[in-house]
Amino acid sequence: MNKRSELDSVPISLLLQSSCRNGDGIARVEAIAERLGMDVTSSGKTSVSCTVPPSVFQKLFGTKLTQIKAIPSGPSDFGTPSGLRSEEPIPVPKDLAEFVELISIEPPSTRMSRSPKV
Amino acid sequence: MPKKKAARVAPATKSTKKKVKAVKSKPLSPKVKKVPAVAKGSKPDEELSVAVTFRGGHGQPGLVSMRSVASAEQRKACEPDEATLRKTVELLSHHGFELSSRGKYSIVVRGSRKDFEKLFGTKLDVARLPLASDEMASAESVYFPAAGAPWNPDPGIAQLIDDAYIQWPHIYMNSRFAVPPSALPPRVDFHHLRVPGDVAMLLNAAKVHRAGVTGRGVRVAMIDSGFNHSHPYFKENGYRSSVVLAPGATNVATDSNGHGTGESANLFAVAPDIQFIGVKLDDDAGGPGASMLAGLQEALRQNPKVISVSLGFDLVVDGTRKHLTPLPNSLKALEAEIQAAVASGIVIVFSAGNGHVSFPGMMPEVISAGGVFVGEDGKMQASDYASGFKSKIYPGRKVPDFSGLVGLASNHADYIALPIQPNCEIDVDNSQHDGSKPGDGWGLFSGTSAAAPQLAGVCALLLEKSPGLSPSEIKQIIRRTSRDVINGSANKASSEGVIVKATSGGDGATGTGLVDAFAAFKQL
Repeated sequence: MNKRSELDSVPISLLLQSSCRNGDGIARVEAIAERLGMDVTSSGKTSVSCTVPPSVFQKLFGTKLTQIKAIPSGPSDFGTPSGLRSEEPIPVPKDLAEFVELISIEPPSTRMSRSPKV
Repeated sequence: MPKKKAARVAPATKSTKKKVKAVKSKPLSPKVKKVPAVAKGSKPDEELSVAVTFRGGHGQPGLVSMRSVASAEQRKACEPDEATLRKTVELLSHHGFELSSRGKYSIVVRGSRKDFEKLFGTKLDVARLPLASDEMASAESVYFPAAGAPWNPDPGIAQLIDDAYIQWPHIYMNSRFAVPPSALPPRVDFHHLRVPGDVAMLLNAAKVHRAGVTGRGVRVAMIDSGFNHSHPYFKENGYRSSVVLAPGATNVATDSNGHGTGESANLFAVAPDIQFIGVKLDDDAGGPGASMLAGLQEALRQNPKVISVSLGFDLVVDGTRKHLTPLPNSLKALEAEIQAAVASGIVIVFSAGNGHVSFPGMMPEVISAGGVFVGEDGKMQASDYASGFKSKIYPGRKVPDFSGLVGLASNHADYIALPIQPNCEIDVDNSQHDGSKPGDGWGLFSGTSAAAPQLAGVCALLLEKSPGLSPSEIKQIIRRTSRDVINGSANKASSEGVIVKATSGGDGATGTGLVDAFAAFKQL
């Protein structure tokens, strides 16, 4: 199996406007997001998660991406995987502006147990 | 990828709903050497795991009944709407089946062989897996409709679903697992705790179990690296679980890191009969896996009453231990999702951190799990490994709320012997200092990662007794019944170098102290 990399696709979160946090609102956002070239992966009560190919990301948002390096297991946790970060705030495309409050890239999370290498 | 073999049962379409022969399963692999017979007494589990799929729109066949690859439009039409889903789950529940997990196109339910035979008007026989001599599976046999078995599903269910599949035991694809780990932890020469007994006893959950409350029927989701519950420890203790993948995660049966598998043993120790739904985040092929938000969204789809998360973000200014404020935009969607979930009645427990300035563990809506160390002499002290701090993002919020069992920094927090996938990252790394051996399928570790599932287990016990309790009521009950801890201090890395001591009454080191499941239970 080919190892996937962070740079294969960009995971983004769409925080919905309060007025849009319902079944209809989520369905509308999902439809628009897909039309814009995003791949909707899951949704909750207040947000929609998508992945976007880097080329589409650049075209849609025009913001620069930086890779966050993985942090290995250390004295206080089992480490943090690598991820991506946007250098500037990600603009909300016009088509989504009515429904989406904020678009962001969630950083990778840390496992809260320890494994110090001795 | 594991070989997952679904036992296909004839589709319950209108044209076939009267009497249809069950479709015989395909041979698993013509090349494998068959085991001669199942050992005496190793009968299949009477409880079946059954995957149920739905029809397309307007009574069209569902995904698995289609003769060609489904188009995006056809796939969309096969997603059940909420009403159909609810009706199906209700009907299946009426016939004795319990929902294990739900996906986009299917649900998985558990039920007895007898109930399956009754509902689908069929007869099941023992089918043995033709395992090669070097293969291991989660079971060697399964109940399955024999060739020519009748198929007369209840008309009510036949109207709603497209197909029902008895799930075959999975074969482990990791050859290193061919020698199964021991169900018992290794012997080590320092004070430590064993699951389930020591954890259940020290948190006073064993007394709740003896009162007949074990978390039965309470759906608890845990979001973590993965869950390899084929470890003999889980089977030996009779725990039941299902695992779903968050988008980007791969392989429901493995956990190449080991974190989720080990921490889930803490949850089962406190609430052994919960309906456990593991939400796996990791891509075992080495890819980036899923974000915590995507994991949470997947967990919410499973309709849990409790969610346990032993992960977090360390919100400090780069290169320092100074608290970061305000909350970065990149975490606001996660914050909103957690707030909405708790407002809808779901209890969410997060680790307070191990010296981390942990988010979401600092959110006021969640239960923030801190750490208490109980020594060989039974004396309690705040774990100097666990976080204790005042949040600058949420003014007035003190972390943690109360605590579970966590080791001390002087011993690398090696405290609880936990089952993990042999040769996973933790198995190999931790064996350098925890007394276990690489590849033995055990690790001794803790951290507030251990405390969060322990507290989630206590919440599940309370919810079995009183299903209507709100998240804030549960927090209040546990708060006022925890055992006060007056010695030790929290990890100062979380408090900008200030020592936060445990003192009489609530304090910043352990919150209100070590949880007491029985004392909380007695309040109901």
